[in-house]
Amino acid sequence: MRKMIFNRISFKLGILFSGIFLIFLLLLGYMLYGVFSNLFIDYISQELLTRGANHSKALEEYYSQATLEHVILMEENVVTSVIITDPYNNILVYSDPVTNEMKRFIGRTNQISNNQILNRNWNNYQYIVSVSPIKDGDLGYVYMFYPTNVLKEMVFVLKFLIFVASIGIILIAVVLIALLSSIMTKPLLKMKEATLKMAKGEYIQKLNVKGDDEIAQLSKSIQTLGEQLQYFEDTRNDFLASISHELRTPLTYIKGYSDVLIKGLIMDRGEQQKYLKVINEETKRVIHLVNDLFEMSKIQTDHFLLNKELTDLTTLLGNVVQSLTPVAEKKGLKIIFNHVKNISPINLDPHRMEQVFYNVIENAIKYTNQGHVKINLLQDETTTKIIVEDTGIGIPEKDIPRIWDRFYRVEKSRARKTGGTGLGLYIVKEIVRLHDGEVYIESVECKGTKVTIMLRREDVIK
Amino acid sequence: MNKFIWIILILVAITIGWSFILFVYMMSWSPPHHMGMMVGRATVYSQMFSWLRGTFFLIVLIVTITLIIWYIHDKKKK
Ligand SMILES: Nc1ncnc2c1ncn2[C@@H]1O[C@H](COP(=O)(O)OP(=O)(O)OP(=O)(O)O)[C@@H](O)[C@H]1O
Ligand SMILES: [Mg+2]
Repeated sequence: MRKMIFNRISFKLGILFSGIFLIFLLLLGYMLYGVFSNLFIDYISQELLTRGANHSKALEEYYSQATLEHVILMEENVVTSVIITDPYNNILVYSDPVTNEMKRFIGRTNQISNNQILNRNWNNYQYIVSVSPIKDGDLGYVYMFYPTNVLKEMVFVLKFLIFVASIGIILIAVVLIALLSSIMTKPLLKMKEATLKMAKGEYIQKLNVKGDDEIAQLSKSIQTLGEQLQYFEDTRNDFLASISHELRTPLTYIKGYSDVLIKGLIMDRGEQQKYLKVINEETKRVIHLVNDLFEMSKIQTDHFLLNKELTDLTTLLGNVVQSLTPVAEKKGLKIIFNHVKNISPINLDPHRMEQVFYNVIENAIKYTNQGHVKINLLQDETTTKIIVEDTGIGIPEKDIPRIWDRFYRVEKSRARKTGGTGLGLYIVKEIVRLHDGEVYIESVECKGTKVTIMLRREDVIK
Repeated sequence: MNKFIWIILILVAITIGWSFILFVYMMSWSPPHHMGMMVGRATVYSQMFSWLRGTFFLIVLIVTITLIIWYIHDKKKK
């Protein structure tokens, strides 16, 4: 637990932001320090220069021992010092004791006739030094000294204050960054917990994440994922139950009837024929079921390739209708197939499409107890429409969005009677989608259902 | 328990941070010395130390208050 903290995203984010912040703060501090310390030095040198120039002017106007003493008097008891020399750089008077370092600056000025700064390097020397010639050096020079230890002290205070302020800012910023990044990453931790639980089988997870940013969206997706997983889990169990039921019924028949035949109990040829017919019918049911399952697994694994060819829909639909007519007639339903003339052939996989029509029309028959099933085939410039209408029990409105799901069957009780796996419409939807078509369903409970399949006419589009 | 230690740490860090910033603010805008900021390092140090003493007492106060709240909180739980 302790070790984990260094691995957390909030920790990493915090370190990153603090690092960036720190670098810029250091830069700013260094800049402020440079600006202010240089401003100090500039100000002091200018001050020194003006004062030196004033002294030299005073001496220029009236050069005498009294004036010299007056100048020295003015520079006593202040930080600055003054030294006045004759034209040959011999010291005449001074305001403070002359140090060796001061002497090193005197005598360097033989050729100089302007006021100027001799030294402004405050780090390595003890004085900032300026010189002003009196009457272009004919009467001598005024040297002004400003001790840098005063300056150093001031700069130190400046540095110290910047440093203290930086530490304060850093403390507050680091705390804020840490808080913010842990708040920001909290939903991620929650999601991690939720997904761990989901991995253990608790699919339904509640994540209250506010807002609509990427993280909130992610948590919503995780929730939906959990719901979906739960739904699959439920339907898979139902599916297995219904599959075994579906398989057992025909297999029991097949076994029973074939047992009788093997034992040779039935001699009558007609009777034998009847038994064989039952076996044949039941085998067909099993095959239908297994085929559906096979189709479904193929669709899901993406090994589903279409063998498209130009197909005459009238014939294709006609065949399906014909093969289903006996079933409809057995239930006393009328099956009507209307189509306009001259339907031009369209490019599709006839085998798959046949299955689509079969599933839809079979549903219409299966879920209709009286009335009729009407199939319409229409075509305009861009689309071909196949409409299958029935007068059956219909689908409750709340179930309509879900009937396209795998294994979804409306109301188990009503479905049990009719038999089926709930794969039919799923296969329909997937095949139509692979053909770039559309399929939708309109239904009113107890009134009837209308399924519309729209296929594009690729010959027109090309 | 862990949570309260974090809260105390955060509070202490924020208090120290603000106190440092306020110190610099005070030194630059209304310095206690008549010479303002041109006082040399010794004076600044001593100013800083007396300021820190104030901060220290403030921190002690804050920590005790948090501890008391924590104690009440803990009792309520039980
Ligand atoms: N024409 C219809 N009228 C009323 N309900 C329908 C109609 N077509 C589909 N349904 C409802 O939609 C559900 C899903 O249909 P689907 O074809 O996918 O499965 P099924 O018919 O139950 O099984 P099978 O896989 O054998 O086709 C059905 O259980 C049924 O309740
Ligand atoms: Mg069906």
